[in-house]
Amino acid sequence: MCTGLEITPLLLGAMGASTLGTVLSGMEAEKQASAIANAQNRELSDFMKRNKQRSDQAYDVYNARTDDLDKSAVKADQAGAESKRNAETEAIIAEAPAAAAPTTGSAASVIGGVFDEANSKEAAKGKARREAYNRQMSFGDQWFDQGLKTADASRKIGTIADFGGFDSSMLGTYQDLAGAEAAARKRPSPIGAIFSGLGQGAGYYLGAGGKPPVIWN
Amino acid sequence: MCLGGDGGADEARKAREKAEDEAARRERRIAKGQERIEDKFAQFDGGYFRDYKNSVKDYMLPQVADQYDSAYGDLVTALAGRGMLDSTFGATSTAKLNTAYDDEKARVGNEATNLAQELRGRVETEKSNLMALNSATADPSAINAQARGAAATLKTPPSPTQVIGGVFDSILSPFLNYQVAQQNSPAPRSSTGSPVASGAGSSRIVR
Repeated sequence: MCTGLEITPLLLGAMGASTLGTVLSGMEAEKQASAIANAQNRELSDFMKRNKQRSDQAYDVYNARTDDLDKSAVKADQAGAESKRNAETEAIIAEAPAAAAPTTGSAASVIGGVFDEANSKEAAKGKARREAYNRQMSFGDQWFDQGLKTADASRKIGTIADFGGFDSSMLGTYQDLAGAEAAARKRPSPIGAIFSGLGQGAGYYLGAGGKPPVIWN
Repeated sequence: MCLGGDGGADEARKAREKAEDEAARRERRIAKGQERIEDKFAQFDGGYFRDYKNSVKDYMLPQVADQYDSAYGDLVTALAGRGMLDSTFGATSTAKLNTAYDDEKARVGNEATNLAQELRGRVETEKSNLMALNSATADPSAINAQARGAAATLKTPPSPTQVIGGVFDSILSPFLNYQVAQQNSPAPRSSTGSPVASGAGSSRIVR
């Protein structure tokens, strides 16, 4: 007599196989997900390293630029600009000297002396005026030089930023492709699915009393 | 476990390597483009701006010198006309004129420096623009052509702001005003007929 209990161990076996298959499939999927995540993280880590290098480069340029803004450097720049202007203006004046006093006859020596005195007095006032002007201009000169240095630093940092920006825009693509490669290399083993399928198939078979399933048309 | 094939792993790896190569190539192109820009702009060095500064001075200083010569002549004539050539006033006036001459030359020198700085600013702006274009296009050959075009434009520097005029007028105006007033006077003080030589100086006419 067949009570149906005879197939219990078989059913339990089928259930076990199915469960084992599901667990194995899950583990394989986890391994694949882990491989994908690792590959993507490697790309991110590489990117961060490259970004750090770029950041260091940019920081060096920036530091060099700001060093030029040290109080002593600014003072020296401005003093240099002032001396340069003074030297240039005095040189240009010496190139074409002014005429002497238009004195005549016996008065020449007397008036010549007056002229010399007046001339040196006026010349001293003129020189003081020019030097004051040059000092005023040296502030602008100094900042003009600072502007040139900033422009140069901006171009360099701009290039570094451009490289970093492009790299950053490509990061997603790199990660996707690395993930795809890892996913393909770490495909889930079919053993879990096989176990699961076998267990389920056996369950159906046993449930139908050992008969093959009827297919209704 | 692998059941035949690599599931596209190699394709994915190749695609990633290609993308990385492309990015590296882009960086090299930009770097090369920058080298070309630096190379083209190397001509705009201190010597270039010094030449420009000198050209401004060469243009403006002769005008100042001409005006000085003319003003000096006018001053001497006016002083002589008033019999004040050998006078303290004459000497002081000449000294003032000479100082004005020096001031004007210094002004020209400073303007030349300012214009050279302005030009340098333009050059730097162009260089920055080209660098930005270079990054945008990442195509060195196109940028090379643009750099050459920009360099050609920069070789035509801006003209000095103005032609100098009436530099010494303020010094001479009292003398000139005096002469004009005397010419317009209804009762000339001298019979020489020459307005310039008829100043009301200390000279006496002996008949």
